[in-house]
Amino acid sequence: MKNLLLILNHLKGALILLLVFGAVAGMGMDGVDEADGRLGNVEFTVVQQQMSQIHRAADHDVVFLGDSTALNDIDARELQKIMGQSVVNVGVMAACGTETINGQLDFILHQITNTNADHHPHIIITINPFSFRRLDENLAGFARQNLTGRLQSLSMQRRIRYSIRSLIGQVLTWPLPGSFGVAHGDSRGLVHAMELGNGTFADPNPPLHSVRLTADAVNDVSAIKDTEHQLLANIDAKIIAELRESGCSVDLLITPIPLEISTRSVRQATLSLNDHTVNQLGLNDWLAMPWTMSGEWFANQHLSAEGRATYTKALAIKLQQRYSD
Amino acid sequence: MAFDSIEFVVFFACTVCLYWLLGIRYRAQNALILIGSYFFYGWWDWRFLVLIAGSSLLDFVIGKRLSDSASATTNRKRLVAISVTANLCLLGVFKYCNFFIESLAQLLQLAGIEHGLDTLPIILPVGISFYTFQSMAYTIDVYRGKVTAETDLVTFLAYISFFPQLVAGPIERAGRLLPQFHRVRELTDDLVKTSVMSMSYGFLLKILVSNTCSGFVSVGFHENNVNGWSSILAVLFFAIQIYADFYAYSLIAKGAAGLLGIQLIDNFRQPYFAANPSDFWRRWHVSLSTWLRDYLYIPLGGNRGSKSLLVRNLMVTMILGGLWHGASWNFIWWGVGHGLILVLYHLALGEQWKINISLSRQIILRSATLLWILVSWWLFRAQGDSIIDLASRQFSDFTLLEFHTRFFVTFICLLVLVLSVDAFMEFDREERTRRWLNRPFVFSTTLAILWLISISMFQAFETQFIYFQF
Repeated sequence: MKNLLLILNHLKGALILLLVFGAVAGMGMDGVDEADGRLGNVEFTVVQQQMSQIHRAADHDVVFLGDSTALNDIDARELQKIMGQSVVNVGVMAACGTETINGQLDFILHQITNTNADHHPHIIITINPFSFRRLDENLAGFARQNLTGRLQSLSMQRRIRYSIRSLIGQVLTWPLPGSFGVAHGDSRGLVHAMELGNGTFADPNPPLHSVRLTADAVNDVSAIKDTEHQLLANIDAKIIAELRESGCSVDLLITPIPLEISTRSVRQATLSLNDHTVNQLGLNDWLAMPWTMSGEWFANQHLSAEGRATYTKALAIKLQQRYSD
Repeated sequence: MAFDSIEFVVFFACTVCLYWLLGIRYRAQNALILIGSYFFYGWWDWRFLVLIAGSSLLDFVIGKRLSDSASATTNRKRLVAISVTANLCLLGVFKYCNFFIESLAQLLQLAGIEHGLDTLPIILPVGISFYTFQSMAYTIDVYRGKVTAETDLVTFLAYISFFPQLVAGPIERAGRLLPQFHRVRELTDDLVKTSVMSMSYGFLLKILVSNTCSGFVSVGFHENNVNGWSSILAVLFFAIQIYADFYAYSLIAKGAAGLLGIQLIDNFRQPYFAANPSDFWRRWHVSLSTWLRDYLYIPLGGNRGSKSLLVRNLMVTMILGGLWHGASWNFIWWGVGHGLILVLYHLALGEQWKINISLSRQIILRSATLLWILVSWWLFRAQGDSIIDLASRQFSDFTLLEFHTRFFVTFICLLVLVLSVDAFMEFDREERTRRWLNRPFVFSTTLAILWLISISMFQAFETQFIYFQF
């Protein structure tokens, strides 16, 4: 007992100081939280960067938003060069959920209606048929907080934790995982790449052989048909209508899937989904771009750098035709 | 159960409370250590318990037999041979079997011989290399008459499985640790303070330094990386990571044992301040290098005899030392490299490089030693890859990217953090730092800061202790 008291006696001072510092025992033992935004995490970095760009989105001529194919399948800077119009992408990723896309659309709508400006951007909702509603609550919550004002909703404990990490982050940096770390280093590197690409960047994974893609994706055919779980089918038609009423054009861009997995059933399911969405959103048609490309153009589920360049050129031609009409 | 987990903190707090509530009943405390250690080890996989219990029981019985048959030399030799063989077989099956099968399959393939060799579904038990070496050393020491055989089974099992040092050392000798299990344990102010500080600094090293470094290392060793600068930075980070990681484990182990009134040896003595290659091994993983010295190098003949014998002894010791770390060719090359450097140091350099060495030579030797250590860490980390393939891929492009500067700044910060503490311990001969830390306010503030940073960074980047895999 005497020895136990001796230990406690020596820990007493440090424990009191810890309490004084406000770092109580419950402080953030719950893994990654919203405050960890830029701590070597690709998704949180992307969300934070894109949400910081949305404030100026309505100032651009063409605004892309949607899932990660908007980020990785299009080169917005290249489109801007070819089209001679300012282009930006504020799209995040499917895991942020349809609610985030709806929130972003709503944000743009408010910007346009509040400023009463004559400028009405072309809005392009960019989604892949395989983007399902696999919501990541942490990420979606983080996106929501960034849309509404960052730290206000964080608890005191998380603020302390965030502050200490931020303080350490002034000196140290943390690398991004996998191929992202190899290509961009850290969050600042990725943000830099996104700034250079007007909110887009090439998927850093090496091109994959299409066979590797096929096995995973074909199983999802049934999910394409299930509109309840489809990201695309749950976009708010009311906001789209209001945006169009305000003078904006709204288009739907279905990004490509590997040709090798485009079996008859996948084709049918995708076409049916597209029709369903177009009708639901009150649009005339989706942008007539090829929604299949050879698997050689892909890196994981996104287009590779070469595939992206080819697709961007084709898209530029299509958009120039559309907006000149 | 890893040290840097909530489970361990709870387990350790409960164990310490129960342990000291038992007062001076040290046999009961030994039983508690045994139960706690088996619970701690079984947390990974209860099946591992069969191995450790079997190995310990065999060595306990052999130890007793050795002390019973004090005069019959042949019988004693046979007994110690059984112990060594059994322990090596355990390692052979669970650690090296698949490596030998794979290597044989590659050899047959090279020779154009068809084979149906396939690896076996064997899980490598955590810390097997540590406890088998500790157990083996016990029987050899009993055989040599350096320690008396342990007669109490519970105490012996507790000694082999003592949880603070069970899975990643230090590999303790029976002569040092067993006597501590046979006496009433008392804590002193100094022991509590150094133990708490050791544990806290260990947690900081693991959570902040080692786990942070692991991300940078992964970037440089990623299969898609072809940038030479990223690779060089990864090697630099790995040098900090492996040191911080293993040193952290050793500090937590020493601190945890200290709070139970048991003192473990220092496994590290500021290794990056090594004056020469030989000195490095007196500072790095001391318990393993002294084990290899006492149970392999010296029995082989050590530095007695001809130069060719010395070369053989150094090379055998270092290659087996490399292989101890893991069943992979890169560890063998790592051992070969260290063996060659030691041979070079002992034989090629004249005496003027060893006695009354001038400042310029000291600088050259220290720098060369450090440079070699870095190269050796590259070999060490190149697990699973062909060394030549890895080198040609990793160093094929030397474009400086904008994030390299930030990576380098982070490296310098972590290096300064780790080495400044080491420098205090290396050069503070009058122990001013320790006296300064003995002031209650300084002690409490330092602890609180270490805890605050550790808690803030907890689970930000989780990686397993590197030496667990050995």
